[in-house]
Amino acid sequence: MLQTLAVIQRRSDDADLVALAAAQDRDLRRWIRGEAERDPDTDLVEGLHAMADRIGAGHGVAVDIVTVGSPEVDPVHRDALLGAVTEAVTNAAKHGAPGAVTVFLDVDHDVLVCSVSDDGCGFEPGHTATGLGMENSMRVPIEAIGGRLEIRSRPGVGTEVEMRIPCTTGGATSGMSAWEPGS
Amino acid sequence: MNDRVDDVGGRALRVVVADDHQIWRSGLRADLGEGFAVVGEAEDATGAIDVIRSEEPDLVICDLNMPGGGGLAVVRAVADTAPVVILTVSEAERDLLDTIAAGAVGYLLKSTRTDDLRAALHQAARGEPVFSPQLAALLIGEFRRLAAAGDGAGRGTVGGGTAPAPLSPREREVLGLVARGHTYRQVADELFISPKTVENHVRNTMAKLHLSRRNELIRWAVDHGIE
Repeated sequence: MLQTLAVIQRRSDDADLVALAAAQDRDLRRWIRGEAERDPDTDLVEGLHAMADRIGAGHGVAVDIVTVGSPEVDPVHRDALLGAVTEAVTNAAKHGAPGAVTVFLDVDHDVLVCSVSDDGCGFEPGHTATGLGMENSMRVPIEAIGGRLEIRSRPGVGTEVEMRIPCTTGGATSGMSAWEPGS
Repeated sequence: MNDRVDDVGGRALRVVVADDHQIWRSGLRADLGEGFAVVGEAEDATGAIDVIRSEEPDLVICDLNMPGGGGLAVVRAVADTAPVVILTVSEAERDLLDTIAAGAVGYLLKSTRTDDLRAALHQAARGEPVFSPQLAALLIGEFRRLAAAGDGAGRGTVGGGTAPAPLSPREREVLGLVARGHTYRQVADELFISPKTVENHVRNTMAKLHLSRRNELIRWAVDHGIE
């Protein structure tokens, strides 16, 4: 079954079908691992996957979510981050013409690091009104929760939006999901 | 000798494909395209080891779950003679770590897009370690776990073994960028180092993990009274 879903994700040109296969792939893996279903409205990683499926299917672009361990954050950080990442992924898919977009998320030493990278056309940072506009719409919510946002882009290479947010209130866990700290 | 031309080495890469599903092997053969010549196929580990030994391919593309001991048996038998890339649906930490420790040069998920797959296989044929971003993230988690275990109550040293070698800041940086979906060339550009240096950092990371796994085994053996 996982093989079949992998074949669909690799070979189909139908973005809706690929998104469906990706979602089913995740559900099946979760079921195999015996994990409870998570709510995309309250769980950050699930929320990112749901966003990736939606935007990926809408723009015909593969959006990969890569997480280290099972990062958990409090609702305020989660909502701000999800909003900014959604904006970054939408911008990448809409304007960057990328082959793929990768969202990376890690919580290390109480700092949440999240990046959105694409291999699209890129732009000259600070050169275009569009660039400045989208930078502000992501920067404001991230700075409001004490975070920093940096955009790196080079024409012909791609764009990366990096967000770093201090994260001391959320009971963050990091490392392998199977590992219990202190056990 | 195959005389088709590819864009890097002057001829198509000679590959052996091992997977217990015939339809997957045919699909992969079609996806690989011109730059690759499939010189052998196998549907189990034993058949794979035989055909690899007789064909001496440039690269082996091998499923993990197959009859006859699976991809792990293949890696153990042939890793010294041909680079092996595991192509699997398994994101299980144990599968990844075991195959790296056994000497696989790469570990890619079957959902990897065709263009990325081709590029990664060309890298692997040159001996460069290749991993899907999800698995680079898993490695970061594994090293963090090892570091935490090494810090805790003397668990890092047992029976003359040493604590797991920590990643250098540069190695951590490189692994992080791979997990973010950057190619080795992009990593090289970003860090102002050569792609070859990036490859060396990834290779050193693998060697440290290999060593850590061995130390873990020694620790486990000592804990269980096995001398």
